[in-house]
Amino acid sequence: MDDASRAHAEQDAQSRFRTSKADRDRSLDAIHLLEVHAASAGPGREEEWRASVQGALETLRAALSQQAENSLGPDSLLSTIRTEQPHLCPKIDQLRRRHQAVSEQIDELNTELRSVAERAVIDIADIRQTLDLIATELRYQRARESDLVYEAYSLDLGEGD
Amino acid sequence: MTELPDQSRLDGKPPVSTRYEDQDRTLRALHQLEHAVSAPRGEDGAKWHRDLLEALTVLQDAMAEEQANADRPDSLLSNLAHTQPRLRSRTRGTRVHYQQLRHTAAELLRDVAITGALDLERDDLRRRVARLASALRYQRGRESDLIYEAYYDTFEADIETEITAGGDHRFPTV
Repeated sequence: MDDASRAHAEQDAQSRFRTSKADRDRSLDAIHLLEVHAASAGPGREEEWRASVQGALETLRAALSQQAENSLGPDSLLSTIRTEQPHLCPKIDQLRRRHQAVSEQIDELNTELRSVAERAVIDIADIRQTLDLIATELRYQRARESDLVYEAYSLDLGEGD
Repeated sequence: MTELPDQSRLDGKPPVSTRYEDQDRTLRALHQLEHAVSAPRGEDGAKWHRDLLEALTVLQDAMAEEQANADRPDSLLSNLAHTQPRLRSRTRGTRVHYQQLRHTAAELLRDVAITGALDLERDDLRRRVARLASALRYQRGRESDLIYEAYYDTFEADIETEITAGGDHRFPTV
């Protein structure tokens, strides 16, 4: 590889890293927002609570969708690791499966929130519990993704957060 | 209508504002801890250990300050316990639960402090931090419910809306 090609490849790697970090930052902001709304007062103002949680949940879902879309592209950080370091394929596949599973869980909860709006009954404790499970799973996945990227490139995705 | 005590005695700040500031400080400390503990496996162990210790210390300090302010006789929770007998048991439960969470955070800090950087079990610590974070968020939600209920009972007003709108100035003097 000549100097120009090497420089280009390094630039690509930095760009992939930046994209991945931006996606992660966006989804972390969305998690924090969701948690703030979930922890706001619920009983006595159920409809306001439900609407604010649902809005935050949709923001999170959108952030995760964009993250997944970028992550599945052939030039993404994870796809590049997959190509360059095949021994990490099982970990990447598992990460993607878990990401998909939690996205489906968010969709289910969103559907439930819509239906409780129609029926005007809501169990705030139940919903908080589900939100907590989702946020905990997402944080776990973030940490696992950091481990994976560090294993591949010795770079910390969370650096500068 | 139930009367609530003076809100202007906490260094000139309304108890509701103090309460929210305390909670926000603890939440920021929690975010710092979550960031530190999720640093990648394989990274410099000594740095990880150092960051984790610092984050746990910050959290412990934030929780101590939050609890100290909540225990003051003119705090929002003290107001509630004093003036709203119906909510006294829940207020006490909130305090007991918070004390337990402080113990959990202190144990975590002690364990990290006495364990060498190379002997730390990263996965184990991540799980413990996740459980603590989950419990703290649960506590925050329950407390918001309690304060909302007390405020609404007293003023028939939505404290969440009033805070957002820059309100928080309605607790009367005893």
